[in-house]
Amino acid sequence: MAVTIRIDGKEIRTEKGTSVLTAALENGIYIPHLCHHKDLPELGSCRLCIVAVEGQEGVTPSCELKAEEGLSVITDTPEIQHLRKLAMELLLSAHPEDCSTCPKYGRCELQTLIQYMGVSATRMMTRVKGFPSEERNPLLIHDMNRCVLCGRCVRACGDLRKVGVLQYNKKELETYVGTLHDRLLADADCRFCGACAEVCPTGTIRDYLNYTPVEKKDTLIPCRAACPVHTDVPRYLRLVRQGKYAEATAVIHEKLPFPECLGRVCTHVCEADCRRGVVNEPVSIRNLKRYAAEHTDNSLWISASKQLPPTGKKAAVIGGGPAGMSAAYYLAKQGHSVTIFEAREALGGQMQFGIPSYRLPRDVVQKEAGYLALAGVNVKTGAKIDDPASLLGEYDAVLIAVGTTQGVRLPMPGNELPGVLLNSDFLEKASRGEETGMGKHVVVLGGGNVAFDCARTAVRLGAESVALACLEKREMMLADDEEIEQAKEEGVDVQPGRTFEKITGEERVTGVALSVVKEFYFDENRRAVITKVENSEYEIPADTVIFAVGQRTALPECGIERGRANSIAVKNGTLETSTEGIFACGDAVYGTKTVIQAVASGREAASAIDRYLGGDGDISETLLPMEETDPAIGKIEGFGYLKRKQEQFLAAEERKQDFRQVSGGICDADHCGEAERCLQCDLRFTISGPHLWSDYDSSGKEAAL
Amino acid sequence: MKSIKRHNGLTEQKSVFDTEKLRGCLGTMEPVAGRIVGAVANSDTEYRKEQLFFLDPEGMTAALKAFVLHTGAEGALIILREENGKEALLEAAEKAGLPLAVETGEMVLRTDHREDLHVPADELYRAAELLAGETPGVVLAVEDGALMEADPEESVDSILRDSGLWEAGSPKAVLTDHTFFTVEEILKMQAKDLPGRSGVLRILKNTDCMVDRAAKELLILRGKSCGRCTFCREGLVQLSGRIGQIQDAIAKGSETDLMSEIASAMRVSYHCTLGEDAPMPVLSLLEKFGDEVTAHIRRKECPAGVCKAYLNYYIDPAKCAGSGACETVCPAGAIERKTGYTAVVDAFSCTRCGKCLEACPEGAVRFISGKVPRNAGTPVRLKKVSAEVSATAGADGEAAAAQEETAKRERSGKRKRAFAKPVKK
Repeated sequence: MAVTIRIDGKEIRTEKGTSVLTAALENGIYIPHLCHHKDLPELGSCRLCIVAVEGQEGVTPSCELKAEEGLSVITDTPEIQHLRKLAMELLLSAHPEDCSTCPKYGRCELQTLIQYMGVSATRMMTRVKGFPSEERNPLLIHDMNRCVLCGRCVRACGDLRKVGVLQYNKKELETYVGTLHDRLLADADCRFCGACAEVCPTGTIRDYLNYTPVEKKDTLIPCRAACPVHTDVPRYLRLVRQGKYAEATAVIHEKLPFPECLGRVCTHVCEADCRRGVVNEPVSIRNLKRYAAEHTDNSLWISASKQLPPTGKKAAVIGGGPAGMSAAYYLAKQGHSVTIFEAREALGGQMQFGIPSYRLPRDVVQKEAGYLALAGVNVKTGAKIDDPASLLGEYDAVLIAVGTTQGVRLPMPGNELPGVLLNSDFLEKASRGEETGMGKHVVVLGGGNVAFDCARTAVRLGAESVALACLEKREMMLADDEEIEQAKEEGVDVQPGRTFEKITGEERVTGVALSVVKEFYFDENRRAVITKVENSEYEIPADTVIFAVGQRTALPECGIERGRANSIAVKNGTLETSTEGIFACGDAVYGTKTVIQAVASGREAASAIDRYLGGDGDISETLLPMEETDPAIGKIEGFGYLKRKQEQFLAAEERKQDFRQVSGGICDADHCGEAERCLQCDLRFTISGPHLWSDYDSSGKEAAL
Repeated sequence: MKSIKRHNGLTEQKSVFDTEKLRGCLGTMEPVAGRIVGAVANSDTEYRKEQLFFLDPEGMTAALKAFVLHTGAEGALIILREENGKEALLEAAEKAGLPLAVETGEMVLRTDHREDLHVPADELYRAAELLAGETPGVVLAVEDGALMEADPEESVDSILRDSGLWEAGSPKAVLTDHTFFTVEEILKMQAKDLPGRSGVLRILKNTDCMVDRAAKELLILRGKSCGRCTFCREGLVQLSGRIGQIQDAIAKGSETDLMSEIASAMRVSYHCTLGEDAPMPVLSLLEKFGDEVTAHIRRKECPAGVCKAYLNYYIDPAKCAGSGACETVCPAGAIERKTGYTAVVDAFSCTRCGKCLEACPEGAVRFISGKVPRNAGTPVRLKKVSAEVSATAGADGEAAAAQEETAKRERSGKRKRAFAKPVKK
């Protein structure tokens, strides 16, 4: 029921029972306050928001005064000014005097109150509370010397989040906010949601990391920020935890088209930055993405998929790998007519012809490549294009996304002998089940993921012995630890820290001569410096040597400016090459990177080309309307100590026989528990911001004193 | 004065909980969504009224039930400092059909009990008496005596007299519920005029310093304060600090104005009875015993001889035998002594710890409130002792020599001087 009240003579219409303070703040009248917070139940302890009710003696905190018809209050009388000023002086008497050295400088609500009221604690006996700053907890610092006992953190943790980790403690006449028995946060079952830091008006409870207001979201939600396509990780993990797989997949599809592929092979930079990792172990985000995508029939996001009306423009994409496919997909959804020219017999690029099927089954790749047909993308396979400019006649824009398919052959004696294979050729032939030219005893040269793909593929093709040698020492090897461990389990002899001297043999390969590396580093001029252990040269007998030391773009010279190592040169931001109308993206531009990087690059290209073709370049889409989040996340015993659920792998003996999928992902019993480990770093951004005096019109009123 | 009654069987009388009867006894009350909480008032730091729950469990339970029925509350909760003896209460509640919980705690925090109504223990007892058809009295106790019930019109003077403690020593003031009352005020008061929170009356004599007592009361309040409200928490710290300055004789004079300002503000802006009563030690001290405060600040003396900072330690040169025990034991290095001379206390450095007084074998160390005797500030040459004795016997030898000196004087019949002969400059 709406009622009319008067504040300083101004008529305000509000719901009966609303506090006068809330009614004032929401109707353009500022009343100083500290313990009040929009999302929290009132406390009435700071005594700053006091007002006088007309016709009554004394003062009342306006946060406790409920609106009823005809109520009239005055927010500023000499008595109120005096009491408010005194309350501030008392608060400041126990607060450190060093505004300028405090990390919260410029974002501190207490500071704004000091500005507004113009007080200091000079009349009072000042004291330092003498608490040591608690910095042993992950992610959050507690510096109780700065606390003004507004109680917001206690209420945020208890009433809003229903976790209840923070409470009032008292030691030797000094009241402070802390945990039960002063335990560390993880031992008190803290959820590390950051609500306490979000509501704290001073620098008492704050994040370890410093950030400017602009950087705040990216710093505090690093998974989303680190992901090249900025998938809304916390949101889809929340949906997985709630068992809403269709919805979770829709959220993922808002940013990338291949969750089942990426759910198996993504290099998960999100997990590296995951704040849960600071607490104990990062959330197994990649496996949860796979789980969500595998447990939906995709009808939800497909029915919501964006499709703009036809523009009449035509675009050609050369290359059907993840970069080309992503670009084509988003361009088609923008309404353009898109055709992919794929040289090989199927779409997929490195996903289909590079990454072995025991890591990424072919049917998964083809299933997700099929989403392109939903957007109306035309695909021409077996269509190799060596001269992109030739397409400009028929098409309004051309995108080069040919990737790096040319394996690098190191210059060393014997590198052309029969039996020497290149990584790219080897993997492509193996993916088709074709004869690769491999013998019985294989040595793979190289230490990245591709090298291990080659080695483990060789095992499955029946090699009697497989050795892998690389320049880097074990800790510096670029391949995932998982790959290296699994390769060892399958019998690959991993020998890090070796230089390649020569490939031995006359008619064909008979072995590889290697020396042991003593030191390997890059000097100031970025030149490699390698020192060898004396007389350490030895030979591994072999009949096959596979070079896995990098790849280059295979596109021949075609009148387009090139960059380093045969890559395509593009302008920053527009991805346009030296020829107008021809764009380039993916590995072909920046060298061999990851699938998710290719997807990000493809999206960038789609946006740039859309703008070139007259569109607005906005390829974003909403596949799931934003849902309400429940702030009451509740207490989970031992939350900080919950361990990361492990990915299920087949036993080495079993899996190395053939190309069956090695990883079972995360099992049914574990997925909810794993998604529950997420700290929900995005939840604190649903908490309302503060009302500061500077947000309000001064309306001619001078600040008190 | 009567002892606390036991209202056994009150819960079983059906007519007691009649709606009309309840309205007559409890008056009109707002409905309560939560529970009725029975506990001593927040400002009560004596906790004596908790005894009401144990002295009259059935009466208190009946009262709780009455409040529950009258306000539509969902049940009752009793908060006590210790749970010993709660069985009687739970039994009585069961007999009465009242949902009752008993918890340990020191205070009833409004924020933990947003939907509840806190009814102070004595109000429950009063309700029990009304329900039983009796005329309620005033529950109180004198010093550590038993909890009693006085007639509301009984004079406080006669209540104090009955305790036998009123005339012993000369009473100066009465302290109750953190408020000081002068003797004149007390003589005009009846039991119903008392603040009535803790109900405990404490008698202060001429040997009690009001400033010192106020400081102690503030510490007690700080001990109980939950610390959430600005005025109670920080106000008590400021008042405590300023009173401390007066106690330590470093007050400059303007403190009382500031204390008055803060205390008056605390009296207006509070969240519970503790916050409301927290400024009372200072307010009543300044209002009624301002002379004693002025004596401390302006005349640098503590009339009751309690505040150590105003006690000046000095060494009686007549008694000092130069043992040096005081000098050795002084933690502040405030004793100056040269061999062959009496020791002298440096008033500036002296912390008034009293160790020298305990250490002196002659009993030469004394203290006085106010200025020390003039001759105590200068070292006096000790009478010569035989070289042999002084060399070998050390402190004992000097003491023995001094004793001999005194004995010699006595034998000669000369009048013993109170102080040594002033040394001619």
